[in-house]
This record gives sequence, C-alpha cells and structure tokens, in this order.
Amino acid sequence: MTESSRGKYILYGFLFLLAIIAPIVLTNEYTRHLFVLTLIFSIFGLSYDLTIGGMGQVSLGHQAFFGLGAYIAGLLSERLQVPVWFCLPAAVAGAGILGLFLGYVSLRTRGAYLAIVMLGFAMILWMITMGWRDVTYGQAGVRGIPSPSIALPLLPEIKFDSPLSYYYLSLALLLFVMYFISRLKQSRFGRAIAGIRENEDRAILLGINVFAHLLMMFTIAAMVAGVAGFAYAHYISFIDPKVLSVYYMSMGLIMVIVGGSGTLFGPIFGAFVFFFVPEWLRIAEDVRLVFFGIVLVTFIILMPEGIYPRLVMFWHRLIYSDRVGKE
Amino acid sequence: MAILEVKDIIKDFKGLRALNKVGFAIQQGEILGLIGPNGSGKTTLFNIITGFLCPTGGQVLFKRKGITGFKPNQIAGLGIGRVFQHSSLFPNLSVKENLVIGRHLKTRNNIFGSLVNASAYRQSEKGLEQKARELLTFVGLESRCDMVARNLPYGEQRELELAMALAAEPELLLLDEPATGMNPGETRRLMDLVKRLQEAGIAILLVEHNMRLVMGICSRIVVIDFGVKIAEGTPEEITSNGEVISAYLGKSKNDAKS
Repeated sequence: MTESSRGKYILYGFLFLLAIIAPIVLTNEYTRHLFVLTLIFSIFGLSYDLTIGGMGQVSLGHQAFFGLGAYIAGLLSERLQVPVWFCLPAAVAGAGILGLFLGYVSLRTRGAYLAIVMLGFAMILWMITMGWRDVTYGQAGVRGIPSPSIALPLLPEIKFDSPLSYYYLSLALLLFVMYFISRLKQSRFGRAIAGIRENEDRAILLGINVFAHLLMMFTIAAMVAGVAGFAYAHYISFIDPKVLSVYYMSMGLIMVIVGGSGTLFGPIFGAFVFFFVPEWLRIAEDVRLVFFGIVLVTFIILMPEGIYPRLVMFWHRLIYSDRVGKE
Repeated sequence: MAILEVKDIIKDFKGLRALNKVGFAIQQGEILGLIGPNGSGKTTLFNIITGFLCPTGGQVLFKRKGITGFKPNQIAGLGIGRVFQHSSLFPNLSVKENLVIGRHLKTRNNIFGSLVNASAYRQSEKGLEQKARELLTFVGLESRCDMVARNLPYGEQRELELAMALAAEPELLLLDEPATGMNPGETRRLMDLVKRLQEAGIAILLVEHNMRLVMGICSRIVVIDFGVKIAEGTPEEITSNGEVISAYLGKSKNDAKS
C-alpha cells in the first residue's frame, strides 16, 4: 500500500467513526432530523451527479425519479399495505423503468436540449400526480406512510421511527450507494462512460456503443434516485406532488455544484451545506434565505469546482508542501 | 489478400460530388499512402470507411465482407482503428486511463464482477495494467503513465493516441495526417513507429502532407484530386507522374499552350 492510499483509508475510517458518533453526541432532535435529511439527499445528490459528473450531461428532470420512487413506496405501503421492505425494490425498479424510457427518448439529444426535454417530462409527471386523484390523492398528498422496521428472531423488533434510528438506516443506504458508485467507476462500463464524457468521437472509434452506455448510466442514476425517494417517503411519512417539483431539482443541482461534481464526497458536502447553513443563518430571521443565496453565490465564485475538490487540493498542499517547495 | 477494398465510392454533399468512383485495395501488412491537395476528399473517404458517413454509391469491403452502412463502433469492433487529424484523446484522464478505455473492446468484465471484486475482475485489471505498460513501452512513453493526458507535449499526445488505437488490437489502422504540427525529430520517431507497426502485421492507410514521410514508408500511394483517383503506384512512379505534379503545382504555361 502506498503512503497516500494509507492516508486515504485512515481518513475514511475517521469519517466513518464521526458519522457513527455524531447523532449520539448531538442530542437535539431537530439537529438529528437535519442529519437524516442530509444523508437521504446525499443519495439523491450522488444519483444526480451520475448524470452531471459521470456523463457530463445536465438533466433538469432528475426530480422525476426521486418523486416517482417516493410515490411508489408511499402508495404501495399506504394503499396496498405492502411490507415496507418490498417497497424499496419496487421504488428502485419503478424509477429505473422510467429512467430507461425517458433516457431512450431524451438521450438522442445533448446539452441544453436534453436538459429541457427532461424538464418537460418531469413536469408531465408532476401534473399526472396532481390530477390523478383516485390513485395519488392529488394535492392532498399521501399521508400515514409507515416507518420501516426489522423483526429478527430472538431480538426485539427494531423500529426506524425516530430521527436517531432512521439516521443509521439512511447511513447504511448511503454507504451502500457510495460503494456501488465507486466500484461502478472502476468497471469497464464506468470507464467507457468517462471516455464518452471526455471525447465522444474518440470513444466511438474505440468501439464503445455510446447510446447504449449512456442509456444504462441514465437508468442506474434513476434507480439510485429511487432509493432516495423511498428513504424520504418512509421517513417523512407524508408526500405530496411537491416531491416532483423543480424545488428538488434545484436542491440537487446546488448540492452537486457547491459540493463538487464528479466526486464521491462532493454531493455529501453539498447536502450538508444545503441543510445546515440556513440554520446557522437563523440569526438573520426573515431574510435568512436571502443570506443563504449570497452564501451559495460566494461559494461558486470562490470555489467554482466545488468544496470537496478544493479541500483535497488544500490537503495535498499541506502534506506535500515541503516537496513542492524543493522542485 | 486484400484486407480492405474500397469499390467505386461516390459521395454527394447537396449537389457537390466530393468523391467520384474512388476505388483501391490495401493488402495485408501494407502501408498505403493516400495523398491529394486540400479538399480533395481524403478525410471524407476516411469518414466513409470508419462509418461516420454513408456513401452515396459504391461499397467498402473489410476482409471480403461488406461493411457499408455499419455503425462506427461496429466497424471499430471488426478491427479497424483510426487516429484523428487533430489531437483527440481523453484530456482530463491519466495516460493509463486513456489506454484502459482504449482497451474497451478487448476487456471482458461486467459491473457485477467489479462490485464484488471477483477474481475474474481482478485478473482483468492486472491484464489491463500490463497491456497499458506494454503499449507505453512500444510508443516510448513509459515514464508518462500517471500524467494527465492534456499536460503531455503535442508530439507525445499524438503517440498516446496511436497507442490508444493499438490497444484495441486493430488489423487495419487509419492515420489521418499524424505528423501535422510535429517537429522533424517527432516526425522521425513517428516514421519509425509506423514501420514497426507494419512489422507487427498491421495494415496502414496513411493520409499525410509531409511528402518525405509518405515517400519514405509507403509501399504504394494513391493520389486523389477533386474526388477522383488520378494515380496509383509506387513512390517512384508517383513522383514522376505528370498528372500528379500538375495537380499539386498547377499546369505550366508551356503545357497549357501545347
């Protein structure tokens, strides 16, 4: 093991311990609640970044997959009393099928066209949930979505019905998603995607089927967003058509851009900023969201590549400063 | 045996005939030069062979099999590699990653193998690493393995591109003006490299304006002008061909009078 990779694993271990201990030390229920939201939306941010940082394409309709996942999970468990754990694969599969379909249509375009086509699709889905009251309850939303629980033999039943317990559930989901994405990037498939992002013509000449690869990546991103939708619906226990609105799209974009796209930790930093900075600005009372806007703009001006890449650069300078000086 | 046959290719662009019944064949292990003044249709022909353009008429045969109308990635999959006229690599990735992606067609691992870090996956990773090193040694970039591709000097970027095309183990390699912008030293290295590729059994179709390079390494040369083939033969035959000279230098006054 090289020196730098050992340092990296020590850092990962430290972060993991921090993540385990944080909600135990911070006993405030509201702080814990914000941490749970940070974890759930980190998953959403990571899935969004699979298209932004991974494929190099910005879709403005990624909230469709999050919202559909949330609705599938919510409606299945509320209307049909489907056990909560079956809702997870159902939400993932549903979001994946939608991703496959929307990707099949919209990936024929690139750049701004792709972004707008996807925005249109997400709006259509939003309108369907508003209008199809017999199934979706329309604007009233789905209430009373049950919390998940694990009943193992010989052990007391574990109910994920408090911020503290749900924190560990969403942490487990996030860690699995992070592992999945990091391995994906190291596979033949993930490298082909990187090649397409960097230089599409070159990738074609190396025998890469561009459309099939992009479609697969788009579907995977949609499935991961479905995981976030599932986790959100069963945590908040109430969802309405807002989960399909541009609010969540802009939230995801802010997390990816402020945190740093194309990185595994960037969207997590972004989610943390998104949920905690407005709280620290409560001193500003009514105008705190205005201040939040100013903070975001400042971040983008000072660190256009995102917080996480900047931190890594700073860390490297700190470690290698003496060697760089000698060169 | 001819590895690639181009038969009576016609290409029209909205009333402009860019190629008119161009035909030639490349034998296995041969370096064939394709020359002609700017705008004569060389790059159009390359785009037709690699599937980026569909010809209006005629056909392309690769190992006696028709490939006209195939998609570019399918054609690459059959064993035709290409190096672009301009620098074209994955600029923000490392030299090694560039080669690993270049190896796409020869890699057989799937997402699930990578997820569980299966032994087949680890083996293929080891193979990729080794192949990347081999290729870098072949083009002389061993020391550049971990550099980001866009930070390489221009000549080395072109060599990396060549190595990327080779990573897919093509049987035929199309080189579109590989020496453009190279200094004499880099051109000499390139010439040497192309010759070694021929020795390894790869057939090469070379488009190039640098006549010393073309005359030095090609066994035969095809000349096209305004989309029409005007000559084909050995370098000696081409240099003494009157039509070729007039296409490049224009007709002299005396010729015009007579």
